[in-house]
Amino acid sequence: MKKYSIILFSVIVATLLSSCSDWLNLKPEDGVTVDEFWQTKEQVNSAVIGCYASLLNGPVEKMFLWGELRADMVENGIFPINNYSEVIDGEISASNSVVNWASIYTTINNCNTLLKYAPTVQAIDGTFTNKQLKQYEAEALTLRAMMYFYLVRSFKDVPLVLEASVSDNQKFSIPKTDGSVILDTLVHDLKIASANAPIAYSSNAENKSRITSWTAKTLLADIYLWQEKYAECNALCNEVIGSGKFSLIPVERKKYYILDSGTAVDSVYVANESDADNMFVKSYVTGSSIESIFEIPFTTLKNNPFYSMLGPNINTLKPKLDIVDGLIFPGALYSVQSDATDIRGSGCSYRVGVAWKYVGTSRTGAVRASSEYTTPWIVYKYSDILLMNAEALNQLGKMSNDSATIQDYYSKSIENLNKVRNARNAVNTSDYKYIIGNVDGKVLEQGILDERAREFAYEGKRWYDVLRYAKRGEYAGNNLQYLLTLAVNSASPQKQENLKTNYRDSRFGHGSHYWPIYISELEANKQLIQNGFYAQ
Amino acid sequence: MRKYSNKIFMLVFISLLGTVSIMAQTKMIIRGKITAEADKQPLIGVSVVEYDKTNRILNGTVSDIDGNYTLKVTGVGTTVTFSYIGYIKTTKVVTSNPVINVALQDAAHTIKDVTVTAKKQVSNGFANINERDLTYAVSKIDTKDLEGLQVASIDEALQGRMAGVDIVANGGEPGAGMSIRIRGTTSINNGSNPLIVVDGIPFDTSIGSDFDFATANEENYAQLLNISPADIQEITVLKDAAATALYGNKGANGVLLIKTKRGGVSKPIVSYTFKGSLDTPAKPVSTLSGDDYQTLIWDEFQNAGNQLSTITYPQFANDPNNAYYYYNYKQNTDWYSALTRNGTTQDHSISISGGGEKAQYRTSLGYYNQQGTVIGQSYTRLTSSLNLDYNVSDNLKFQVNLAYTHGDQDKNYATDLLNSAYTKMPNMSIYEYNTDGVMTSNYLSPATTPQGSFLSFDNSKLTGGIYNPVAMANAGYWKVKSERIMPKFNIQYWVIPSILKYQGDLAFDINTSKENKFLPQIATGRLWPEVNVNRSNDLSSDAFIVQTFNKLIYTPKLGEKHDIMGLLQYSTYDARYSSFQSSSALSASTYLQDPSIAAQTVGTNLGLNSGASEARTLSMLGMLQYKFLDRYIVNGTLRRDGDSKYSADHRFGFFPSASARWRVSGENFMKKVKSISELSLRASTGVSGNPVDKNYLYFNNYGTYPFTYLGQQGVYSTGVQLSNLRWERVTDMNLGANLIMLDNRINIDFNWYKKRTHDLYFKDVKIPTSSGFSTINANVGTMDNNGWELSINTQPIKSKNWQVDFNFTFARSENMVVDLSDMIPQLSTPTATNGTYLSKLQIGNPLGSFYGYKYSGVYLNTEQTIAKDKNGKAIYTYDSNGNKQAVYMKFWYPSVGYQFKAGDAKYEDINHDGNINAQDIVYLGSVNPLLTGGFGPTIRWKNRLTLTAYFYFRYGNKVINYTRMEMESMYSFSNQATSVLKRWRHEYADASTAPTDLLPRALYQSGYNWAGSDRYVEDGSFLRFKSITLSYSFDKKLVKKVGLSDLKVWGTVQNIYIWTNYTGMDPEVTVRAGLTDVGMDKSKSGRPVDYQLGFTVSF
Repeated sequence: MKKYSIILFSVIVATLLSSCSDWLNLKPEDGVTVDEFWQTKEQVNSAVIGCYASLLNGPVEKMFLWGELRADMVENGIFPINNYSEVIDGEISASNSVVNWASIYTTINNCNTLLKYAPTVQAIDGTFTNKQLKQYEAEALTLRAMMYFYLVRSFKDVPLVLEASVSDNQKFSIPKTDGSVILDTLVHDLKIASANAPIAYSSNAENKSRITSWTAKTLLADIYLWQEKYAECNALCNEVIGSGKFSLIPVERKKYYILDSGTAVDSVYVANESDADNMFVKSYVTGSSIESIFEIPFTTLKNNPFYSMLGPNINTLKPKLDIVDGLIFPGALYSVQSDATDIRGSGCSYRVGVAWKYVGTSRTGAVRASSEYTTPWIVYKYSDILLMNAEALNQLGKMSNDSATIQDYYSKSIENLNKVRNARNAVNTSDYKYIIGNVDGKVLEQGILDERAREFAYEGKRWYDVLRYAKRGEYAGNNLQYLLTLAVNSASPQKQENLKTNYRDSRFGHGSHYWPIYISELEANKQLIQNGFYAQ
Repeated sequence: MRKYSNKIFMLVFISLLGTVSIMAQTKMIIRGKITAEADKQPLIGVSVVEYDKTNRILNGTVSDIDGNYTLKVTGVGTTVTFSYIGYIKTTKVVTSNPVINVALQDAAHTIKDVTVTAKKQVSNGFANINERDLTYAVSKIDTKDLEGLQVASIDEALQGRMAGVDIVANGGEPGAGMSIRIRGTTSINNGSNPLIVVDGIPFDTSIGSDFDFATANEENYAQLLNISPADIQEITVLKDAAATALYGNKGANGVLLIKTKRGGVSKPIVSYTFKGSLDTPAKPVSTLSGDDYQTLIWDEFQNAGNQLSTITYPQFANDPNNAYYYYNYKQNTDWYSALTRNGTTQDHSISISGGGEKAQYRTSLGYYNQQGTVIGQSYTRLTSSLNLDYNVSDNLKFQVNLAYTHGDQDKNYATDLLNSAYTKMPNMSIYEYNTDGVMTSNYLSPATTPQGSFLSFDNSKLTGGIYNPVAMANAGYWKVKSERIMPKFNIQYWVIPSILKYQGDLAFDINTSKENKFLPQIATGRLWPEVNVNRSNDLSSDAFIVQTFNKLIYTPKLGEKHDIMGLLQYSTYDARYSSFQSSSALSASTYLQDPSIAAQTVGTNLGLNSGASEARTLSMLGMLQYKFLDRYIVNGTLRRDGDSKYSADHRFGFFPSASARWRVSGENFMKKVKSISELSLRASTGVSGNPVDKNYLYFNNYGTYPFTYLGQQGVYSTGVQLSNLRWERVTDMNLGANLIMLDNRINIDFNWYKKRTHDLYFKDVKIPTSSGFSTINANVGTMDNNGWELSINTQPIKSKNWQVDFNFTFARSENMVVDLSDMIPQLSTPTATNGTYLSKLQIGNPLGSFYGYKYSGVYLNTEQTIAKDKNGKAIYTYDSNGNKQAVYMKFWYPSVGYQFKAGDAKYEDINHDGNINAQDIVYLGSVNPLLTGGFGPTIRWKNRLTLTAYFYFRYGNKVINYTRMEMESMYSFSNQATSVLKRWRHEYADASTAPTDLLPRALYQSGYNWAGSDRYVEDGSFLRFKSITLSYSFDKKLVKKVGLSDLKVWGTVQNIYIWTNYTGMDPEVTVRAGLTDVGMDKSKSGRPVDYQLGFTVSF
């Protein structure tokens, strides 16, 4: 009997040994693994949504900070954050977390993952059509290109990662790729994407917040503008304009004559307040307006990052009113018609000392509750296409020799510019009264830049616009002046000289005009070399 | 397959039981009469029991009123015993004669002097081996040595008493854990806590880190050693690889073996112990008064180039016409005193133990209650345990242990309450004054204060927000209720008597905890539609752990010279965790505190979430110990472990070890040396494995975002698949010696060891974020831990009435990084920020070194800020007009380019380039001590009066006093230490007139006056007079007269005094081994001195 039990004991041990590897096979209980995912077209769709959703988790905040902190429209708020105020003063160190690009690359990786696995689903799910696959891929390609375009404009040269990160067997340390090479890759991808992406989805919300062919084209136009390929930019803008899918929200204006001793010496326009409010509400409260080409929506479940950043109670940043209210938005020309102002100024871009478009519920209404910060982040809107077009035409004109052609370009440019100006009731100071036939290209150039400042106030475009202007033609002429003016308008007085010195430093490919690579990224990636300006 | 094997197991188990039931033989009936021998009177109720050869009970009965009995027995050859209280047990063999009359002898007449000679045995948890035969490095402590110490858990009492065991308190909060390191840091990121084994069963003190306990930390889950100290018999620490090989991977950081008290053969002994104590809070850092604070803030702004605006900050206007602000912000509030109080502790424990030959029992009940020294903190614990031993026969034995613990911990909602008290504006009132200047009963909690608002609170750590700390302590809470049930079953069966034993253990550990948290609006002042208003959380978490052990122990008899012990073990471990949390906010009132009450559940971090995970391990072990001639002892162990956390390729680890002991004193040539009773040399080597701490890492997992996009749920890849994860392997070499001489008057134990950790496991290794992820876990390097430890127990005086013992322990442990993968940045890039130190992981250097600037005082005047060259001459340049211009010192030019001004902190310009940057960062010190240890005398008089004192020390380590850094930064609206009263406020044209202890100027949100420099690096050496205890046992004869069997009283004072140059609260900071944050002392509370009284009484 005892012998038997010993034998039996050995038997169990032996049995358990053979089966123990199975016993140790445990799968996650609250998640799926890569092998279980990627089975159906519905799963592919939710992975596409995952690419978009990741935008809410960081990238939007970066888009805002990168586009505005170094520019002249924000300053320290009631509770300054040291990282922000250092950037505002041009004291940018590589340890400043503002320059951390991690969240942007998370979106890129989500897109890469989709591009890797979506084609494999076709073999499993027979109902997954090729057209549908190409559409999903087009969305991922466009999103990825959008992220890289932000990176290239901010850092110039960055690692170009087009492979999904799946396993620790992969090599993660990837060196920088030249920014111009990255842009060429993006152009290639976007040509494919604009051909494959849907013209429209089944709902308006999707049309505005998922990638359409128009989004891909607008992004491509923007890239061409950055690459200074104006003809290509112009052609794409015309395509988007010609689509008839987008228009500016109409605002009725009333003309008033300014009388001097009974004679009309000038006229001003006063915008209809309810139309103006409609524009505000459609664009920044309800969202998905007719103007919007691509916007990132926020909900009460996932607020935008602006409550603690721009909100009225605890803001870390606030409008730099000495620049914005007066310089960027000129006041009413005549005190008798004090309502004759830009509808994008007070009551839209700023009000009661805060960036109102993210805070207000209407032009004159109450501030939002903290849980109601749902203003969408507008990446591209119709006015952007119009102003890109104006800019491209302006540059084409400047590059032409023939005066008739020049004037043709200029007048088309002004036409686009004025579409925006009229819709917003921009104040017609003498700077913007262009006399067709005798337009100075440089003046028009400045006019377009100013218009962009007004149109996209706090929409994360200002720094990139000014940088694009400054770097034009390899910093030709006195283009650098655009940046030097910005330095004076943005930094605190005792820091301006230092900042101007930095901007003038042309070493390292004007390295000071781009961000340093974040310190921990440099530590983790041995292949990376710091932007020379910050490596000194 | 698994089911199948379970069935087989059951079958075997039953068959094992089956082997003991011997087939019944011919039945017969015996009878007889039982009388007392002395008076021949019949005895009533005598138990009459029939046993078989192995002492298993077969049948039994009791005698009747006339002393008669009848018993049906199985047959001739068995034995019958007659036992009765107060009489000697008598045994008769059953013969064919059915009548057995017995006369029982009175026990009182037979007690003789008994001399017990026994050798100390140490349990390695598997088999008891004589301590003198151990081939491993162990330390042992008997709880008798600790009696009288007022501690919630035994780990606190162990502090410094065992060589090589470094225990550091995590904090002064009631119920906070301790961190224990046995022989230094073996792993950088993986846990370094030792395994705790209670009565042979590993005890889980940690949970998988992937398990989402929301904001709960591991401490809350398992109070380390949640066992009443009164129930602990002895603690043994196994230190080297050969010892830890027995416990495999989990024992890689050492093993603490705890034996709880069990019942013995005796009449019931009831014992009651009471301990009570009073804790007085430690002296705080002295902070500015409201008036001094206001001056400081004005200064800060002015120096930063902005005038403080009393329109933006009416709190600083001091305008009596604005009564509301005047009264609410013109106070001198001492927030620290408002939050602290004297703490009290009471600890009751009562136990009953006893038993007969068949069964022994011990049951105990404990109640522990501690009121913390901070308002709102308390800890109550109820413990109960039952240990039952039943000897079925000589060959079969059962043990059942049941332990139940109920813990009730009240914590503050905010975990940084004292921190908040230190930094809170002292000019603010606790209670709000109305506009007439009359104080109301409302807390003053404005929505925003100049310091910020509550929204900057880190919800995952519950720190960093701006709130009214008194309101937070009183109205906010964080209650943790935990129930832990640990049933254990043990069966021991001698398959071949005294040669082959089977032992089976089945242990359950059921741990549920419930946490309720509430964040009151009246403490934060936040406005209504925000999700931080009246926020409540309810978290339930469960852990269910099943462990099984099957062992065969083989101890053949091979004659006098040889001694062999063999062991085979198969064990399994299965742990399941689950949690469920609900959070809501915006309930209508501070009194509506349950998440189920209608409130908002939509929003960031609100709503429901849950988590579940499971982990399994199994291991096979074979061990053989051989002793020859009582002098040469060798031990070998082979072990194979499997863990569900690894991919199939790396799942199993093989861990061998070997050890030997040579008893030199047993050799003939040593026999002449009479003074040495024991001299042994030991050597051991082995490999053990450290598992990763997270489940499912080898999968590429997908998850969903906790929010929707266009109303749809988005899925994403949550991390890369870690297919390369391997076991972290620790190779250990140990050489040791034991010397006992002069009749046990001197007992020395020495160990030297060398540990090497291969495949060092790092959590959160930074990878390029361009991959889409920022960190992964990986095996990345090799690290050494070398050191020695010495313990000396002496008995200088031993006389009839007096006995003096003096014990010392010393230990030194050094770690060194041997190799690192390219993935680890060996040198973190220096940064231009305040408050951070540079840490380097350099091959050949120990972990825990830190680097920073050299601080050399304050720039007393503008002239001093001119850059100087090597020879100390001012550097000049010429401007475009040819004018000579001074070059001023700059900070990190050009990327930052801050120009130093008079009053700024002056850092040494090591390379004399006029620019303080990365090139000026130098080595500042290391957190690793050169020597640690403890010592103390025990003086006994007639075994009645005992005086014990205990000291322990750490020597040669550096500590970064982060508290001081923060409290002297003068950078924000935070209140500061009174030392800032000596700040720079004007230029000193003549440098010699400046005070020597001048601090830099106040500078609001600018400058680099508190960059990581040696200004805050202090010597962390200390000698602490930890405790003194005086106890007195009353004379047994005297005690008997009042009906007691034992009475003992004692008094203890703890944390009496500390000798140190350290200026912070307490140099005894947790030594954290990690990549960053090494040895920073951020603590704001010191250790309270406590006074205790206690007594033990037995019946």
